[in-house]
Parts: sequence; C-alpha cells; structure tokens
Amino acid sequence: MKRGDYVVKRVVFALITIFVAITLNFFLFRVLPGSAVTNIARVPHASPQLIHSLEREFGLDKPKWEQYLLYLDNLAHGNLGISFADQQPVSQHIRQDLANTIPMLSLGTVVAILMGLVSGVVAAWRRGGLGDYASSGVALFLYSFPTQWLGLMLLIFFAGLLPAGGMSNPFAFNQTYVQHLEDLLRHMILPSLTVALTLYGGYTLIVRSAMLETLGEDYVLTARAKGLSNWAVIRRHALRNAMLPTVTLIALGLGSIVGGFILVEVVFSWPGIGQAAYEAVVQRDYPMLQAVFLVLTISVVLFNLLADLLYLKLDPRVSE
Amino acid sequence: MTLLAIEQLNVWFDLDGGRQLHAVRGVDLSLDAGERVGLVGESGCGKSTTVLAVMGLLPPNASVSGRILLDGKDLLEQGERSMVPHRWRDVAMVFQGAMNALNPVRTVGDQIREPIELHGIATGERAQARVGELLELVGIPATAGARYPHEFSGGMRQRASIAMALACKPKVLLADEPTTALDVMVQAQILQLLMSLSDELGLTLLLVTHDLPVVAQTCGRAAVMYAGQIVESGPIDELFHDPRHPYTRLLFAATPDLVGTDEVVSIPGAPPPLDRPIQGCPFQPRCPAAFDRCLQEDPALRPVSAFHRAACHLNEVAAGMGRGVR
Repeated sequence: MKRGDYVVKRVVFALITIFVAITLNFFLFRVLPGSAVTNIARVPHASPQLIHSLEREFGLDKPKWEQYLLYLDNLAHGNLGISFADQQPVSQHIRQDLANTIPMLSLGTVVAILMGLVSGVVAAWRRGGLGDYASSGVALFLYSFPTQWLGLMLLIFFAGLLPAGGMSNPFAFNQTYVQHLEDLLRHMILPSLTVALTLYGGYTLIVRSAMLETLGEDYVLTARAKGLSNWAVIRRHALRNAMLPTVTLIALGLGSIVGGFILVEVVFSWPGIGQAAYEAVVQRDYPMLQAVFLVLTISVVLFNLLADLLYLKLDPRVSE
Repeated sequence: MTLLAIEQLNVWFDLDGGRQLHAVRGVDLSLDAGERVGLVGESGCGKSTTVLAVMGLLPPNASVSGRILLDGKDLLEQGERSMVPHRWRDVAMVFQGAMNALNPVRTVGDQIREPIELHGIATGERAQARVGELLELVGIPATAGARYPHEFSGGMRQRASIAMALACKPKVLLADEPTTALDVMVQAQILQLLMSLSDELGLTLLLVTHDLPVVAQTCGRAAVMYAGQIVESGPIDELFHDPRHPYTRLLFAATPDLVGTDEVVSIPGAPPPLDRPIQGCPFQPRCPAAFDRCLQEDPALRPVSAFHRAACHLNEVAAGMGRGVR
C-alpha cells in the first residue's frame, strides 16, 4: 500500500541521515586543531616518547580512514570508546546521563506541551480579547527570556524552599523507594519548571497561530452551521487540523531539547547529558563529546521520523 | 405560506479605526414553503452576508438589526442563542463549491453523520444507514462515505455537501454559490440535483449566486441586490422580460448568450464604498439613465406590478407618463 511505502521511505531516509551524521561526527572532531594529547602533553616534563605512546594508546597514530573504520566497527558493537577524563567506557557514562536527563526533560516538556496547547487554543478562540493579550503576552515574554537567566531567577526565588541543585539529597541514608522518588521529584521541580517555562512560550505561540489559521477555514464555518457547540467545533474540527503544523514543530523542538538544555543542567548541577557535554568540552574528552553528539543527532533524526509517522496518522492526505 | 421572512435586515461590520461598513442595508425578503428563490448580485453586494446572518454565522465584529422570522419565530431575538437550535435542523446550508467546506482530515461519511447524531435524528447503525441513504440520494455510492474529501472530485464534494445539508431534513436550504468553481457540465448536474431534491422533499431553497442564468434556470422568483440593498424583486419571467431597474437590465445584458449575436456589455464603474454614507441612489454613478433626482434621493423599493417591485425613480416618472422604462 501507499502508506506502507511512505513508512519504509521515511525509515530508510532516517537511517541514511544517521549514517551521514555519524560520519560527519567522526571527521568534525578530527579536523579540529589540537588533539586529545595536546593537553596532556602540556604537562611539564612530557617527553616526545610519552606523547607518542599516548597517541598510540588512543590510536591517533593510525591514518584517518583506518581510524574511521575502527570507529564504525566499535560503534556497531556499542563501543563508544574510553573516556579520556576517567578511563571509563563512554557508553556507561552516556547511559547514566541519559537516564538522568530524560525524566527531567520529559516532565518539563509534557507540562509545556499541555499548557501551551490550552493557552494557545484559548488565545486563538478569544482572539483580540483579554485572554489572548494575557496569554500571548506571557508567552512572548517567556519565549524571549534566556534559559539560564530564567533558571537563575527561579534559583534565587525558590532555593531553600526547594533543592537548588543535584538529583538527590546527599545526606539522606536508608531511604525507602518512595522516599527516594519523592526526593528525586523535589529536585526535579526547578530544572523541569525552567524547561517547561522556556518551551511553553514557543508552544503557545505555535498553537495559537495554527489554531487561528484553522479557525478561519471554511470547514469550521460548516461545523458551526451544523449547530455544533463552540467546544465541539474546536475539538472535532479545528484542533486536529491545527495539530498538523504543531506536531512537526514540537517534534523538531523535541529533538534538540535533549541537547539544548545544557544551560539548565549546568545551572542546576543536574548530572545529565547536557552537563556531560559541557564537561567533555572543558576536558577535551573527545570520545565522550563524540558520543554526546551522536546521541543528539540520533535523537533529532528519530523525533523527525516520529513527526513524519504521526503526520501519517493525523493527515489522510500525506500518503498521496 | 411564508416560511422564512427577512425583515429590514441591516448588518454593519466594525472596521479598524472606528469605521463601520454597512454591508446589508434594510433587506426584506420572504420565502414561501417549497419555493425556490434566487438572490443575485455582484461580489460584495451583501448577498452572502445576508445568508450568514440568517444562519447566525457572522463574525464577531458584525452587528445586526431587523427580524428574521422562521415560521413566525424571530431568530434574532436573543442573538446567537435563539438561532443555534434551528441550525441544520430547520435551516441548513450548502457552501461555495470552491470552498473547503469539508474537513480534510475526516471521512465524508463521518461528517455527514455528525449532525444526524448531534440533533438526535438517529444513532449508531441507524445513523450509518441514513448516511448511506443520503449519499445515494445525491448520486454517490453509499460505500464512498468511508473516503476522505481529497479523494472526491469537485462535483462529488459538492454533492456530498448537499447530502450533508439534507442530513436533518431541514425546511430551508440556503445555497451560497453552490456551483461556482465547478465546470459547466458539473454545474448543470448540481443545479438539476438541487431542483429535483427541492421538488421531491418540498424543500425551500434560497439560491445565492452572481450568475443570472443559473437563477433563471432554477428559481421561480429572484431578488437582485446592489450595494447592500434589494433593488428589484419579482417572478423570474417578469425580471427577464420586463426589468424595471437599470442594474437588472444591465446584468442581463452582461450575460453572454449562446448564439453570440449580441455583444456582451459590461457595466462600467464599481459599486459605491459601503463604509461611508451614500447620497442618493447607490447605482446612480453607473446608471446610464440617471437624472438630477437620483443624486438627491434614494429610491424606495416600490411595487411596479402585482408581485414585482423595483427601486428606481424612473418607474415613477414612467408611471406618471403611462409607459415603462425602456
């Protein structure tokens, strides 16, 4: 069927994109000036022999194409290399970082999407009214705030009331599972709120403009003529069509939030993938940074794929 | 018996900068049960606004005065609230062919079924069966209900809109440019369908169009609108053979005929802007027969024969001299 073709095409396209990204990811780090050993070699008494043996240890003495093949081979086996910073496998780090980041970001994102949907719909329905001015005004305000500033403000106002950083109380011992979860949630509130507020503004504006467009469509007039209540017109006719552009934009945004919240994680000392990226840059920890980039590109591609597949579900015209 | 009566309908739109556009200016129109009436005029003359006012579907910046009586009950009495229970149950509407009147992401059958269930006509399988009947009534196979609007041709989509409009067995059907943007063959089929349906179901039809021949083919009576007013109304034969307003006469002259012997005339000029007061007769600047009185005084819609009315000073002059305007 046509729809099956569409799915296959999208998936193949996503895989190719990921492969290209992996390749670029490899070469990007190789063309940067300086190598991993530059920093280590800067220590006093670093002899050329030491530098050379370090290069050999990390495989940096081999030709680039051989390094590339090695990289692909390792990647295929889930081996992302050894961190230059602490000699531990990068894949372990990444797994832990993702496990820390995903719940915090998901909470923030889900809240932002729900709030953005509601206030966007209200603003569009009450276009030009008080509700519209209030909700669009707040949205524009939040949308234009720098994330780290918003985070700092929340930190200033709520630190003390809520934990100011980290994921758990380091002084709590012998917690039950429920206590641990509660502690984690309390730590999550501020960073998640920062994420939610940052995204909320953008989502409200997207939903509002998409709704305004659909509310002007003729089928909405037809729906009203049929005698449907305002709510039914929105729910059954306007919202689903307004979701088409919204889904794409949200999915595109979702791909980048995995990496886009380095600032939030640094402000709140959240040991997630953003924090890891920041530390890897500071320490010139190539394998780690490479892995972080890989995760980010793959998540962007996967969310795009998700958007395409959702589109198929939402819009019957897509497969044509 | 009068089923739908529009009395002294006025519609204003609030524009930016505190200006108001007087889109419909004192329209009177009545439809008897089972009658087919045409409402004709060029774009922007207020014909669609009149129809939307009957449905209570005007945008929020519109204000309305006058009365719209359905079976003697005023639909404007309590604003939108008094209209809502009648929407689709008593008065249904077919929108312009070019319009995107069907929701692209829902199946056609689903959209026809929606008002059936909403107004409690039928539910479940009975509603589904009714959708099938309606589709077949307009000449579409019942199974096509499972398809989406983009899988339909323009003509089929318009048939589906008609089926949707008939879903709750309305008394009045308002058709706003139902054949615009359809090719001539399909146009003829749709008109034929509307006519046979109104005969079979005893449906009262108000056909809004800019296309005079369409009205001449379909309707028994017509009203011609210009600049928000009705300038002439009467039986279609009298309008055609004995137009009493220069605008009607020019409209007929502007219609190309099949043989192509007569030259097609266009009416020079444009209708007056409706966001400022109009001095005298609104058609006067474009009227070949205008005289000094037309500059001063807006002619009222007066009877020229038993069922025929026109708003032109020439008719009084002619009546005084005992002959028609020609």
